[in-house]
Amino acid sequence: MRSNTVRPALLLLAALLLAASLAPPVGASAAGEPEYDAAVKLIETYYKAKHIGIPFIARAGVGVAKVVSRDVRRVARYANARVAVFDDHDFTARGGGGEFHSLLRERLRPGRWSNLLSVRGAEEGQVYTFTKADGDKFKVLIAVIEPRDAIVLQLDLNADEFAKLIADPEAESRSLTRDATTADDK
Amino acid sequence: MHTAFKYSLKLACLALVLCGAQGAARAQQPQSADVTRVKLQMEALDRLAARAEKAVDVTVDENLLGLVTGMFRNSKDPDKVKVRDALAGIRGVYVRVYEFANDGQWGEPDIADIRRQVGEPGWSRVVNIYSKKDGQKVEVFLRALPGQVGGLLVLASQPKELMVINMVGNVDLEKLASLQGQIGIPELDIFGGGGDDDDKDSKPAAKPATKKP
Repeated sequence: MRSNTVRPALLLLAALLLAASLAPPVGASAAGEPEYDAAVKLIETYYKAKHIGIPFIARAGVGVAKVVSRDVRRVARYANARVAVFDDHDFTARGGGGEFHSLLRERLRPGRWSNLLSVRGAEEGQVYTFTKADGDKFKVLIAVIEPRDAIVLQLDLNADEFAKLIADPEAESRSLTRDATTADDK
Repeated sequence: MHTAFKYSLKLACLALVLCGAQGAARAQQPQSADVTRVKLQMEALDRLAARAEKAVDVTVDENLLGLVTGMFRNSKDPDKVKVRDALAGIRGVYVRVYEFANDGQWGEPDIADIRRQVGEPGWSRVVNIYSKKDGQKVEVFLRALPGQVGGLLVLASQPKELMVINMVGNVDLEKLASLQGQIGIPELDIFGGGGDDDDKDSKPAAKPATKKP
């Protein structure tokens, strides 16, 4: 993830907003995940950063956007995607992320999320992936924090997509966040 | 991972076969009371993350394993069937990988707590390979007692890299082979493939298993 991914991310968010406006009313089952909000809030408070995307969706009264745009069809493979993007902020100011990881685990514990993966790299930044079952789907929450950008992504995966994540947690976590923040030009 | 490192891992696993560990690992269905003794406490490794250039921690616990096997339950896909069968009896897989920028950034004191745990009764070091040439070291510890939870620990290291794999449950070489490349376990090249040309000078030596009470 680089800064040049932010523009496509903004395009994606615009598409999300448009799709959300066309989507049917959101039912109780689509209520926001408190842990997702907690993860976003934690990045805001811990790194003193502001995210983009969620306020627009929130003001539109949509907790979950159903992506229908062809331009973002890769994301449409997944259900109930929620994305928060933190752009152009110094995420290196508070060290390697050990304390942040502990705080994130603490925030997600009430929701019974399992911490599948954590990666902390000097150059690659941090990747944290949490999962939990939800009926016949699998909820996945991924936080990627790089030196200048950060993303929080929550989405539902079917069994096949979840199997890919389990097979190679790091590569697939990065792939999912890349898909979620890169509009397809085709 | 470095090819030479992989080669050592392959040798480690082959040595595991020679040691007859596979048969010993086919213990009876494990009892939950033993799980805590086989799931190693790795918190002492956390401090390495601050020094490492990259630290990876993969945790596939019993709940997650249940999800995976559940979703493959009725699958006819040969690959999924293979993974499902390999996961049968496994109660947890815990992988830590640390990569360092320079030599000397980690040492034996950092893994002393891990060694203490596998030094307890029931654990045996079944493989011990060391290559003086490049400082590669691979150790495999096994806990396989009839009627108790089985466990496996792989300690694989180089001067700039440390990998710790802890598997809990009914573990044997076949399972390890089937699970390479899955659930966070690196490719170990256990069967076939052979080492790369640049590995031919490596001459690690396996020692026979040292059984403990």
